[in-house]
Amino acid sequence: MPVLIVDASGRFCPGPVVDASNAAHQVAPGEAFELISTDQGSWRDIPAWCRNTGNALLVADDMSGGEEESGERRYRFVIRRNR
Amino acid sequence: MASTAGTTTELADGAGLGPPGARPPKTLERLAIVVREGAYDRVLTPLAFAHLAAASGAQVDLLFVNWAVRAVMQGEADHLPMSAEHAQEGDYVRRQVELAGLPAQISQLVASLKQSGKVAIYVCSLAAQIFGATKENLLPEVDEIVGATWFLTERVLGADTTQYF
Repeated sequence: MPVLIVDASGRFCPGPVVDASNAAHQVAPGEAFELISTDQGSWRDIPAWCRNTGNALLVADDMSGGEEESGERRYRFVIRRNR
Repeated sequence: MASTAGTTTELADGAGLGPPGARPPKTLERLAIVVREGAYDRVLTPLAFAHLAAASGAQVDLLFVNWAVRAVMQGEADHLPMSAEHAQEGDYVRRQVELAGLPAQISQLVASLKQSGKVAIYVCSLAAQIFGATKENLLPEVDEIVGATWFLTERVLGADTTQYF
């Protein structure tokens, strides 16, 4: 269960990654936070960030649904700080 | 990338979203960036890369050379011209930068870079001489005026990758 929810909607690269980094510093090791992003690049950026920082990506949820044609995206990530 | 709209993916520890069987990529631990372009729209890119690399846990070393020295000088950083071919679009770009969630002022971008604790900012000594940069008139976030040989042998050589802008 995430202890922190960060809404990075409207922010674009490198915003969501920076927000993830800041959130990781706000939770304790072992705790999870949730990140919401509307940046299309974050679908790959956030998993790459997790890999590079050693944190665990628990959930990657594409909530874009019917907005595909308009190009609007909405993602939900749940990340556990490992160290 | 195949559409995954409306799906929830729950991942095993350490798993990514790449194709199955892909080799795990290296970890970026050190990034060196040499910045020589001093136009506002041109300097945004290396600063953005520095931001995301630092946020990803990498140590980032930036060397400002040539006209880019002005991007880290007091009184100059927030008055950079646009690149010539986009000279009339400065207001638009600055507004778009703010809408994207970043500070439009270069001095604020530089300040936020240092807050990560993982970014070192250097100015080339030759460029400092040519463009009148001194310890006193550089932004306080600049670590040192250095020779390019030092940067090449002490920072570029040890970096996982180097970018030139």
